[in-house]
Amino acid sequence: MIALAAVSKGYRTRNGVKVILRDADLVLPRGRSVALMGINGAGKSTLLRIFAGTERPDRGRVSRSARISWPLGSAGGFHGSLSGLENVRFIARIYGADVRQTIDFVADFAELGTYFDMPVRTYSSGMRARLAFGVSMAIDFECYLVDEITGVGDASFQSKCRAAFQERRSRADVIMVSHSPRTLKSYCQSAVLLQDGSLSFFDNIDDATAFYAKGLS
Amino acid sequence: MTPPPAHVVMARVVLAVLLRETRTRFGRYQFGYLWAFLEPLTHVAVFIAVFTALGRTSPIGNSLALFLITGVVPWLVFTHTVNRVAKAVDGNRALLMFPQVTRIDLMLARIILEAATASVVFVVLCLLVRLFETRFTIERPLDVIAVFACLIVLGAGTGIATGVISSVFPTFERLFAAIRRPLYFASGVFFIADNLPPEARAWIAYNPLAHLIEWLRSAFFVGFESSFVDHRYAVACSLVAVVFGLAAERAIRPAEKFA
Repeated sequence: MIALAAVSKGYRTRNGVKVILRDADLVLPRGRSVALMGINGAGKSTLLRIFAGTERPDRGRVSRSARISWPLGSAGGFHGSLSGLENVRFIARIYGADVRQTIDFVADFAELGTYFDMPVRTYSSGMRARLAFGVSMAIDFECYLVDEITGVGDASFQSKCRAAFQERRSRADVIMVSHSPRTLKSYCQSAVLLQDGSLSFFDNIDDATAFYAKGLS
Repeated sequence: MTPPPAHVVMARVVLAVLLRETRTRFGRYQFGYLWAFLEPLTHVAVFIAVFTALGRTSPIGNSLALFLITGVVPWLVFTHTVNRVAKAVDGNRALLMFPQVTRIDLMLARIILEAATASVVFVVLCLLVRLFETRFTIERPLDVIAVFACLIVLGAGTGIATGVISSVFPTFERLFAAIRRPLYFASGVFFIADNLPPEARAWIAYNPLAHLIEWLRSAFFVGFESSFVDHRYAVACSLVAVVFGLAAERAIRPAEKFA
């Protein structure tokens, strides 16, 4: 479970403060996979980082009672000059996972072939995403924070991701940011709408998409 | 499932960063870890050449190499620690994506790596001298350890502060690098303070590194007692540096991990 109590977050920009959250409250129950929705630049990725604990709120309190992943995106977390394998070794160590087992799992899951021993900076964004996804699957999280990575890779990799999530649905939830409504609906039952600094929770994702579509038109 | 206690998480992270840093610190160069020894050796070799050309001998003890090692190594320990710690966050920004990785972890890992490298380099170079040049005994070994501890603390504090200040004023890093260069000649790497004219000595007395190098030599060489060294000043400077660095890190850098 993740709970936000009176959380505020803003960024100083050249044109004043950009507000992401203003005194926002939210309770995300266990056992629901949640889509994070909002217009471009509303702060969905920042919110995901606040859920993870990667970023601290300016004010308010965030509590977590599950093993939550780092925000899985194609961008961060990897050291470009180290190989995929060395990065996996690092991640396994900081999560206290078995290094050997994690490496074997990722080598099999991410299908990077010889690239697994090459510096991550030589990877395509799809390969980075596969690596990130592979490591996170090797470490048993109870909640996966996914930032736009399930859309990458070819069809066979996408169905592999879906199968991996399906397999652990009973013990792990997903909180997901994606621009594809189809992807969101195939993973999530519920949704959170981020709008003008406030959060609204929808138990049924269809209500959120309907509300969202109405708001945009 | 309850998460592991904070100190366990921190220890895991620091160890993981430390192991990764060992790769990235030395992996780039062709000689790898050997470079840690080659660098001080080049400094020592250049000074031996200059001293020999000028017909000068070591001001203390009978090994010029040992005299230079006890100046060059502490200098390099200090500058490397400052440099590496100041750039610890920039060089590992991607890792901050993991919630359990904090800026202090990144810096601490580099401090430990520098301390370990310094100890190994110093011990190995001294052993080389003992095996191939002059047999010697160290007068106060515990003082030698204390000096290296001070060097690491002073370097770490200065490095943390430099990192914080240059995150606000990016030019500071360059400015500080420019100050550091002449400092090499004012730290007693290749001379002892007693041989300086009094005016020069009065200026150098403000430099904590000069005190630490003199302290190291007076602890190292039997029969050499420096009238210049002020132990309390050296320790105080190191502690002030680290307290100032940590306070600046807390105060100036905002709560966001990516700022």
